[in-house]
Amino acid sequence: MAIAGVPATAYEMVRVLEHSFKYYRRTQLQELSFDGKLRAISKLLKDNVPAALAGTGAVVPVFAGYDLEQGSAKIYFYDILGAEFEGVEYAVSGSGSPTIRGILHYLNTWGDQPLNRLPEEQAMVQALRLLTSAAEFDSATGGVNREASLYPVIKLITGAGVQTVPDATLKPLYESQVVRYV
Amino acid sequence: MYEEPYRWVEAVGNRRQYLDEQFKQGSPVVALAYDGGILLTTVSKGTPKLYEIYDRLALGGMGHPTDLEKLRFSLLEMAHVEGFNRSPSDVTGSRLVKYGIAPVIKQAFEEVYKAPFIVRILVAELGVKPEKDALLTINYDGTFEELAGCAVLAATPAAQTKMTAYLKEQTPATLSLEQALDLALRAWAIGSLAHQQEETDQQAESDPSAGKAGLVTAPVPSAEVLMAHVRGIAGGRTLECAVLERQALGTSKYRSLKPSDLAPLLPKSLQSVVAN
Repeated sequence: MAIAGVPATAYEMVRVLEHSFKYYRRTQLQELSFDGKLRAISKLLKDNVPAALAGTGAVVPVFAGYDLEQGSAKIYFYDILGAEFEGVEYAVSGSGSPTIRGILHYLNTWGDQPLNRLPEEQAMVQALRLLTSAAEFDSATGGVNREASLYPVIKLITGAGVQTVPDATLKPLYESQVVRYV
Repeated sequence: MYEEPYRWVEAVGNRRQYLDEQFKQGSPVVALAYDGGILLTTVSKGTPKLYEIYDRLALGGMGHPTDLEKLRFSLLEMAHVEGFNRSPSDVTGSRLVKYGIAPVIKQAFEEVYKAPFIVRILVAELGVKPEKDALLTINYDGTFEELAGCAVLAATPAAQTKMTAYLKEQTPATLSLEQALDLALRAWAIGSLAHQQEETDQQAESDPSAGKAGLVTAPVPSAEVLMAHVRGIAGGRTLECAVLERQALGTSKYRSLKPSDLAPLLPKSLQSVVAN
């Protein structure tokens, strides 16, 4: 799950979700279904509506996961009221998202290949480029800080689980395929 | 009628007798530390006897399935509330046992008007370092014991002593998972054979013509005999194994071993047990 919005609310949501999914698995001796997990997020967002409207706790998450029952990866995005929408190829969230939503649409429709056909490395390069573009036009999107070796967090989700891409992998990708010296 | 103290003592004594009787058909549980964590093993019929409690906690049980479920739920509840309100590292097996379920079991045992819990419980806790690994057992009367290295549950104290002695004698300095599984199964067989032996001894006692042969301490059976016993019993039942792995990715360290995981670990003579 990735979030745009207030960290305090988001962290608490993730803590609640993690704990309740584990509790479910341990008591019921089976994993909560993918749909069950989607509903759990919706419910937390719905409970959070008053805080979101008061301007103190709005969170807009993107939920990506691998549905083991169906054997396919899925992406969902939410509005602040808790409605879930499946983004078939991509989903974006946050203040910088309008900038890159257009790019994603363009790439997916008229690019060399649809986004869901991209090999892993290409997908990571695209993600880094898109985040850099968003940071260019949106002051609230953090960009890459090379002096401090700060790179975005990229996670790969497969049937085997979630894996964080180390900075050591991102650094060469960023330097060879994202940076343009003017 | 229990107002008089000696009546109460008598009633508690009767309960002990009743409870000891209930465990006779039970299958022993073995927990053993190996180089990568802790292994739990038993042979169950129908209902599972090994469970995940928390990130680093596993449960093994003997006794009535409903009682075991009830206590498993209270352990889960306590662990998750504590882990959520404080932090997962504050959830420790010894606190759950000492302040959580042991007093509940003791109270149920001593309230002679109510039914006691027919359970023996083993809680395994994986420490961050091997020295911090802990094994706890709780008896049906609420007595708990803290152990290190290995712990067992068995139908009678005598069987339990035999199993522990065997484990202590056979355990080398370090064990791989494969060696630990082999040893745990042999210890399980020691316990299971001890149960059978005690049954025949009891029959022999009630039948004076049978002589006193059973009372002589039998020598420890060889590894082949023990494995043959496991094969004989586990054939129609489920060989249940679970591990708490120190190196496992993520926060949950518990993994129950599926037949496909067990097959490469088991000796050839036992392959048939996981095949069906």
